[in-house]
Amino acid sequence: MLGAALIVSAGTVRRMLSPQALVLAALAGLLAGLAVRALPAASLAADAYAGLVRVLAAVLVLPLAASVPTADRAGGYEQLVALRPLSSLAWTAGRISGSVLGMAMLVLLLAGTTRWVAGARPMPETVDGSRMNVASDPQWRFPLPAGRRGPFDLQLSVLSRTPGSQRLAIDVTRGDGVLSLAPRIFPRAQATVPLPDLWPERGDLFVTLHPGPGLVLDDAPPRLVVGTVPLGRDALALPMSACAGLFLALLAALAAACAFHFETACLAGLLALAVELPEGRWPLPAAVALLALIATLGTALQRRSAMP
Amino acid sequence: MPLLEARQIGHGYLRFPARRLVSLEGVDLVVERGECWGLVGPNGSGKSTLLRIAAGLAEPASGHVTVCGERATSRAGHRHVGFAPESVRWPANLGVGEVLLELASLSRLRDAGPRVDRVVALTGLSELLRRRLGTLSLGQARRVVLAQALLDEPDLLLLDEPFSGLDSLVIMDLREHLRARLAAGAGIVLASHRLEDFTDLATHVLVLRAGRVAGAGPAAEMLAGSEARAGLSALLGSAG
Repeated sequence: MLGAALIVSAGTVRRMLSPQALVLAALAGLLAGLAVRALPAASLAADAYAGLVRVLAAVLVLPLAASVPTADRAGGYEQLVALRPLSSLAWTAGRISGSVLGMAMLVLLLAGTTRWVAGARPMPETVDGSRMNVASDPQWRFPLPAGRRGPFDLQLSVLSRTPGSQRLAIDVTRGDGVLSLAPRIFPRAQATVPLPDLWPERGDLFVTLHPGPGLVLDDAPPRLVVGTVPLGRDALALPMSACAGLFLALLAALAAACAFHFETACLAGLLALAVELPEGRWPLPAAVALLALIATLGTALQRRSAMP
Repeated sequence: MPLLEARQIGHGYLRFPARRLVSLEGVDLVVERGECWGLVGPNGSGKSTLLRIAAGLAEPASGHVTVCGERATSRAGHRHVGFAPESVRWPANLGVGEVLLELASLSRLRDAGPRVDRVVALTGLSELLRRRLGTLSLGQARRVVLAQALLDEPDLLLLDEPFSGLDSLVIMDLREHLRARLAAGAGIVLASHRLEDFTDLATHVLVLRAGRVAGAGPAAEMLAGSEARAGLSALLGSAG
């Protein structure tokens, strides 16, 4: 049984990984990468990356997986296999394992291309300040990564301003070095102030803010932009949480394809993608077992032309 | 024990709204070792359906079919059958050799490689072995269909329009091979709408018309002589 399942599995993988499917996956990855690259913030890019990979993988893989059994049936190839001495269980196991392997490779190609295209984009690397006092003139501490040179951009926001009194003075301290910046006008609710790195002093950077009367600073920690980092390094992790959903959708599409038409199989896959399984240890294995059983029954009935 | 015994075969299709189209009714076909039955009939007369039922790929609505004493739909029955349908739409991105090897391996043939080489040579596919199936012409794809049916040298060969679209040389080689299989004790059921396909091959002829047997008998009686052929033509022609 294992040998027959492996043969069917290898054939299924070969059919799923056709040159057209590979080009389509790479193109989809390229387009998704360009879209993610155009986004302004790393957190937004990360969310978009996970969402795009999930949706594009479903759109690409589900019809492809559904098409292998249904095209075999419509074209007559399924009949030729049905005459060979392999059990329906081995046949189904081969179809499922081959489809899962094919899907994994296509999704990796899609996600990898997206990450390759979008990942090289430089994004600002920021560190959040930690408040060091409770005085009205707050002091913030910024741990600087080793080897980074300034000037650094301090990103601030205020809660309210009284017209004509928007001035803000800033003291910067690092090691023994202290520098007082001239008071500056704070024209908008958010502002970026360039700070010197006080080189050759080392250690963390301490920033004390002296708001003028009528200027109320936000309690949220200010951020210090300390350099740039490629978007792909941290933000674009593979959306592993989507894997279980995609796997179930693939199984549903395949189970339907083993018994019914292509359109029904695609619909089953999309429905499975939309369903959220209840939390717990058993729902996922139970769903997998049920879908595998349906696929086996469908294969067994179809090989005798017993299905409509 | 006959190689194929099909008795009182009936088959039909359900069409909406609840209308049953009869494709076969009361058909008998018994094939002994060394016999080649030519199935002849106009389009839609039920030749392909009868072959599919004999191969165990469809259940008859009535009657029973056995292959070498086993139920045709059973795995034991399948083991004796080589089936070449009229056409197969092959998986486009697989190679010719690849798909033949896959089918030979699924047939659990110990010497799958040499068997593939042998049928490839027989069907003139040697130069196409690495070609993708999607790039083959109709005649070339047809040869692959025949090759897979011959892979495990089955006792019973069920061939649907086996010679259509083939080169003359390949047809000659195939006919020679089929005669050798008959001499070795195999049985053949060969469906065709061209009587010349049966020449020098068919030992018996079964005429189907609108799903019913319109005539059956030894080929020598059914095909030999202009009078017999005129009678056969009348049977076929009156199918309308």
